[in-house]
Parts: sequence; C-alpha cells; structure tokens
Amino acid sequence: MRNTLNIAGKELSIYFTTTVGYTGFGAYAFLMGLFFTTSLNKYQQLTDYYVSSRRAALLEQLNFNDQIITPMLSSGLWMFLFFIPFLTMRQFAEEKSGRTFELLMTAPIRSIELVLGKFISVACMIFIFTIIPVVFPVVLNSYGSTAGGVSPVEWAPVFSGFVSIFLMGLTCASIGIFVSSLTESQIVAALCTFAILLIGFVLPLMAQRLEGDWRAIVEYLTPVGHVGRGLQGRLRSSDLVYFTSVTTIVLYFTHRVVEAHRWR
Amino acid sequence: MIEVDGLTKRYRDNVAIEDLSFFIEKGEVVGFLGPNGAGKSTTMRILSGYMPATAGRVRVGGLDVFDDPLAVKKRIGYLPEIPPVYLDMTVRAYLRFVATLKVVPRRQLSTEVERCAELAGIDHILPRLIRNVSKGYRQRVGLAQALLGDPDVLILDEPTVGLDPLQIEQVRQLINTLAATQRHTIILSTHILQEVEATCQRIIMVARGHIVADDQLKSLEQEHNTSLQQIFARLAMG
Repeated sequence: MRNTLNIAGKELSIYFTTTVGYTGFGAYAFLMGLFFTTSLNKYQQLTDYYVSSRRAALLEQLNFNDQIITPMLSSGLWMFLFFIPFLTMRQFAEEKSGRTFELLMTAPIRSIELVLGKFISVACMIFIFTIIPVVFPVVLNSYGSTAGGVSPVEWAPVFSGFVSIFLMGLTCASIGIFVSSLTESQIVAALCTFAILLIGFVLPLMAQRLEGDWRAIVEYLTPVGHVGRGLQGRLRSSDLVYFTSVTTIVLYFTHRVVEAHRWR
Repeated sequence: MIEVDGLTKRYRDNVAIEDLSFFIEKGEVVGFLGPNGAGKSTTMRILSGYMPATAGRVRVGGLDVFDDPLAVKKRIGYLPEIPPVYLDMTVRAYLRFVATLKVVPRRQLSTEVERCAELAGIDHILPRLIRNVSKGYRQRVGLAQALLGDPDVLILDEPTVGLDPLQIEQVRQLINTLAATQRHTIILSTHILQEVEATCQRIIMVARGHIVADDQLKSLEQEHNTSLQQIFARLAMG
C-alpha cells in the first residue's frame, strides 16, 4: 500500500511540476465554459420564443437539467477523448525511454503496486477534471429562480451525471495506461489510445443505424453507451458493473505486460 | 555474499554472456572489467533482478534472485549504466521517492536522504530540478540513489562515466570509504583500467561473454609479470 501511494504521489508531483496539469485543467475549464454559455444561450432563446408565442405548456417543460447541464456534460465527455491520451501516454512509455523503468523494476515493489499507483495518479487527475464543471450547476442554482421556490437545479441527476463521467474517465484511463505499457514512445502511446477511444466514441453513433442485436452489442461494449443513461440521471447498476469490470480487466492486462518484463 | 553459477543470457540467436560463474565474499570490492559489449551491463542487470537469465542461478546473501526477488532487491543498491532519474523532479523529491521504495522508515527519510546526498557530494543541489543539473551531477544523483537504505550489496554499472576528473576522484574516494567499512560488497563494472587499479582488490575480466580472468589484482599482475593494461589487451583480444 505504501509503495502504491508512493508511486501515485510521484506521478502526481510530476503532473504538477510540469505544465501538463495546469494546461490540461485550464483548457478543460475554458472549453466547458464555452459549452456552458452556448447551452445557456440556447436555453434563453428557447424561453424567449416560447414566451412570445405563448406556449405555456412547452415553457413549463423547460428546465436547467435537460437544457443546459446534460448537453454541457455530454460535450465535455468528448473532451475526454483528447485529454486522456495526454494524461496516460507518459505513464509507462516515459519510464522506459528515460530508463527509470530499470529503477522501478529493481526496487522491492510488486508489479501490481506499480500499476495501481499509476492508475491512482491518473484517477486523481480525472477526478479534478470531473469536478471542474461542477461550478456551472452551482452558478445556475444561485442565479436561477423557479416559481414554486424549489431549487432550480435538480441535484440527483447532476450527481449521477458526474459519477458516470468520472467512471467512464477511469475506464478510458486504464486503456491509456495499458497502451502506454506496450510501447517506449509517448507519441505512439497517445495516438493509439486516441484511436481506440475514438472507435469507442464513434461506434455507438454508427450503431444507431443498425437494428436489433448488433446495436445492443455495440452499445453494451462501448463506454459511451453506458454513460448516456447516467447523464440523464438514470445511473444503473449494470453500468457500474460494466465500468468497474472493464477497468479491472484492462488493469490486469497491464499488470501482465509489466510482469512479462521480468520474464523476458 | 554473491554466488553466480552458470549464468547465461541469450537474446534470440545473440549470446550476451555464457556460463559465468563466480563467488564474491562479503566486504569485497570487485571490478568487473571488459571491453564495450563484453556483457558487463547484462550481468549487472541480471544480478540486480532487472532481467532474468536464460540459464543459471544468482544468489545474494543466500537468497535466489528469481525465487525471492523482493527480499533480494531490498539488499541491493543498483546504479544502472544510464542514471535512472526523473528529469521533472527535484533532487530531494527524487531521493525521497527512491528512499520510500527502498523501505526506509518514514521518520528517517530526511536524514537518510541528507546522508546519501552528502556522501555523493550533491547536498548543495537538493532543491534543484534534475532537468537543470549537469550530466555529472545526474550521475551522482544516481549514485546517491543506490546508497539509500544502506544496502549490503552495491552494483555500480560504470559509475564514473560522464564525470570530470575531480568528480571521478571523489567517486573513487567514496567507493574506497565504503569499502573500508567492510559492510558493503561492491561490484563495479568499467572499461577504465585506472578505475580498477584505484578501487578494487579483485578483478573479474570478461570478454565476448566469457570470464577470461578472475583473480586478485596483485597476483594477476605478478602472474603475467606486466601491467594491467597489457593483460587487458592480451585477454580481451583473445
């Protein structure tokens, strides 16, 4: 346990002594801000339109969760596609190219501690990425108002959305770490991770044209298929099982790859 | 302290070392001498547990490196050929990280880091980023890293490469100081003859993956009735 935390601490300290952490958070916050203001503008236009055309029934259906928060989060989800390869590419590839892998492999630690330490460090980064946009619902909540005096933002679906985004981030990160363990080149690691994640993101869109079993299979296998329900506030245990099992399996493969270095 | 028996390493068709056997007593300082590509680094890497051998056994302090890797690694300080430093960490943070890996108790971390930094002569650069220090200092950070946790066995792969003459002298003095305590068993690989003459009592000479000589420095010179340089030239050329 001490070794795992030591490795995780080392990784985090490198994220923050270099500019990787700060640029990543800065860029992400900026982009999320853009998505937020775009959704907010759209919401305002819609409200004005309904008011001017006197459609009270439609106006009543408008709410912050469906019109602003969910669209913002699902745009933010696409940003993970770009950010996660940059977070994970260095994990093992840099150790190998910088020859520090030799230090880790001759230190009295187990491969599993090494893999978990690296995973925990990326998980911490993803956690920060996930909670950055929490500021937007908070802003909505403090400036918005409703007729009945109830809270303008419904918090339960917001919470479920953030949890499912975080879990999907972990799954993508484990894939990135696995790819990084296979190569010495950070660029190759980033590109391959990007390619794999892109397939995972695009397949469900393509599958919408399909019918029946194939569509169900694609939606079950890709992480995006599981995050959609969570974003709408319907986080299911089957989705939780999917994220935890994929993450665990991929980390197990990573462990086998690292362990293989001791036998080759 | 270190028993090596029939050690062989092949990379596909390429034989790096073949059937190496030697025994090193506790407290000995052994120079692992050979021309470039003789299999020195390969041997060091196997001894340190970084890579497995194709055949043969290595025992450190009575424990097998392959069967009991964690226990063995706790007793070894290893400086690889290229110092394994993280460029984006400060010297102090790096040494604390390695000390924790080497199971130095939390309370003694700071004193242990200071002690090894002082031994390696880098106590004045502790707050600096490794990226910003010279090659010679990086080498010495690597050396300090190997000393952390006061290991019984020190495996140093070309410890003075990249150092200036003054630093080379300091490192040799450090090795001699460590040797004088008789608590450490030290193997250092090198292709620099003066280094062996300055620090080691015993020489294991390897060429093309085989041991060509294994003796005390003095008796080797007496036996061949010539300087180490000529012995080296004769044995290495075969």
